[in-house]
Amino acid sequence: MGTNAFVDSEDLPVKANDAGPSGSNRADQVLVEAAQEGNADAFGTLAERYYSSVYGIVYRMCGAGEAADLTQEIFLRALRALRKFQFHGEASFRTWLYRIAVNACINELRRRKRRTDIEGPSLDEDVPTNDGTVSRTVPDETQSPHVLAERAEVQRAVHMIVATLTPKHRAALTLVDLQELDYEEAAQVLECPLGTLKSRLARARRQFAEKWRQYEEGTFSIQAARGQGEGG
Amino acid sequence: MKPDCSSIEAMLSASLDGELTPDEARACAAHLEACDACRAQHAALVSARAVLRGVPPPQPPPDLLPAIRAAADAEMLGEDAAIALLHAMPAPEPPPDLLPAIRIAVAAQTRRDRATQAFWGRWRTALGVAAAAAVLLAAVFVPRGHEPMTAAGPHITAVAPETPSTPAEPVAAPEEVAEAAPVTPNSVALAMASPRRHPSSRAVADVRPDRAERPEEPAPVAEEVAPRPEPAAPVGEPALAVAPREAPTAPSAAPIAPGQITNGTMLAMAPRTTPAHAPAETPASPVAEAPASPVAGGPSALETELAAGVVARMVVDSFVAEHLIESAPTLMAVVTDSPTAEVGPVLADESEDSANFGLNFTESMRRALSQTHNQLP
Repeated sequence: MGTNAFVDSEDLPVKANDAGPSGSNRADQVLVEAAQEGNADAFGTLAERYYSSVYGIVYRMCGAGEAADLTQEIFLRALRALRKFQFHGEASFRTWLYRIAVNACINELRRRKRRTDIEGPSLDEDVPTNDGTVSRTVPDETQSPHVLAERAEVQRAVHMIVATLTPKHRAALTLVDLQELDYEEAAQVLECPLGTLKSRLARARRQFAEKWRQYEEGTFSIQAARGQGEGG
Repeated sequence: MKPDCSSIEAMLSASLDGELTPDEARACAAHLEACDACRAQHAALVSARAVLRGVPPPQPPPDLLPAIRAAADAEMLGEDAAIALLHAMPAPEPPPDLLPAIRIAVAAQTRRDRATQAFWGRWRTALGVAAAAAVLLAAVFVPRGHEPMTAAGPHITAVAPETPSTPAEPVAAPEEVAEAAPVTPNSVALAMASPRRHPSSRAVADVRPDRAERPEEPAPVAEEVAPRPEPAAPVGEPALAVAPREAPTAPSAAPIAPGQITNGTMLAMAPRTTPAHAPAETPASPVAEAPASPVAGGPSALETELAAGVVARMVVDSFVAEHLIESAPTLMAVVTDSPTAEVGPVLADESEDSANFGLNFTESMRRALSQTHNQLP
């Protein structure tokens, strides 16, 4: 169940759903059909419509560092799989695209974890010391200009805390609370039952709330939080 | 049943989003009234959700969308790169000597077709008189000197004879020779006198797939070529065409008839790399100097296209190039102006299959390419 939710499945047609306005779905359908016939402009329009939200998913799940590259890769994956995509009733292209995005993010997180397991902790992680955790002196990827433009301390804290959650919890929280999908569409994106989505979201929120409280109290440690998140 | 604290967690979360059924909402509210811990937890969740939803979406970098579009365009081009490139590239100006060269090669092909037709007419007559005698005659007339040619596969060859007096003579594909037509010793000698490859000159091109495996054949001197025998060898689909670039006024140059090279013939042209050898009498207007055509009319569609500069350049990989050469029956000519390539998919270094080929195509060939491309495995 849970693991099946994260296999690469962009080639599977999505089930019918009522996510999003039907007018938007119809517009998507026209564009998708044109793109399936080789119309590059149609796919470009689809990309224009959804690239911000896909970027948001990637940014929140994987961080700012490779968000742009991964977003581009997601659209390429979608394009390659587009011929297999079929509309069934009101099936949403957006749901299908988000599923590709979430799966790509989870695969990316797993890849990073494997790399960390092999090569040791990443340089952007804080270093635990006797006086608490301190940042490494190497510049953080989130210092890039486009991130600086939108940075605020609260946003940074939110992203830090979200990054400590497990990939599944992170995905649920990102889709529902940050991308504001409804439960049904989020469950379809994650390919899990509605009840599973609810329980994942509840646990993710509880963990986030607990860490947010620690952050506000000044006791939040990324290192410790990450350990808790991965253990939980 | 009153839910306990562990089972209320999902309800607390779902209540924030209005995802509870009326019964669940009532049970949840009742539990919160009675449980301080869950009430505190509920408050924490409300606060956390507000924080999360208050975070503005990250702004994608300004170059992301153009990058996605460009990558998608490239990806879609990759699916049909050959055709897309073909349509995207501007048509280059054909060199001025291309059309005369084509006319000469077409004339050679036409003469060969006529000779073949005449030969088979006589052959059928002989068969009508006495089939048994015909078999005997065939056994007598089949020359023994043509065996080396029978092993050859389909290929395209263009030859520019060294002397203008040497008549251009096409030679049929070996399979066709062996199966259908007696070949006189003279015709075999002529075939031998047409070297398929010449290391120091690009006047000869051999684009057979198995060219590397063929043993080198001696290149007889031009004097070995006897006067053109009659009949000539029949035309085979994989054909060898002779393009006497330096002998445009050869008497054997037959007129060009539209449509005469349309079926089963691939016509290879000698590269335009020997302008110094071009005779002064090279016709500026081949139409005017060509012998009278049995089919009156203007230039062929191919000629018209070439004269109009409707030649598109494209790059295909070796696989596609070989496939085109071997399987496109309507691909009438493959002409290249690359100084490093010979006719057709002849590699510049003749070794790397991964190399790309620069080919010029007319509109006719573009159509043939489109049809063929769709059939590529």
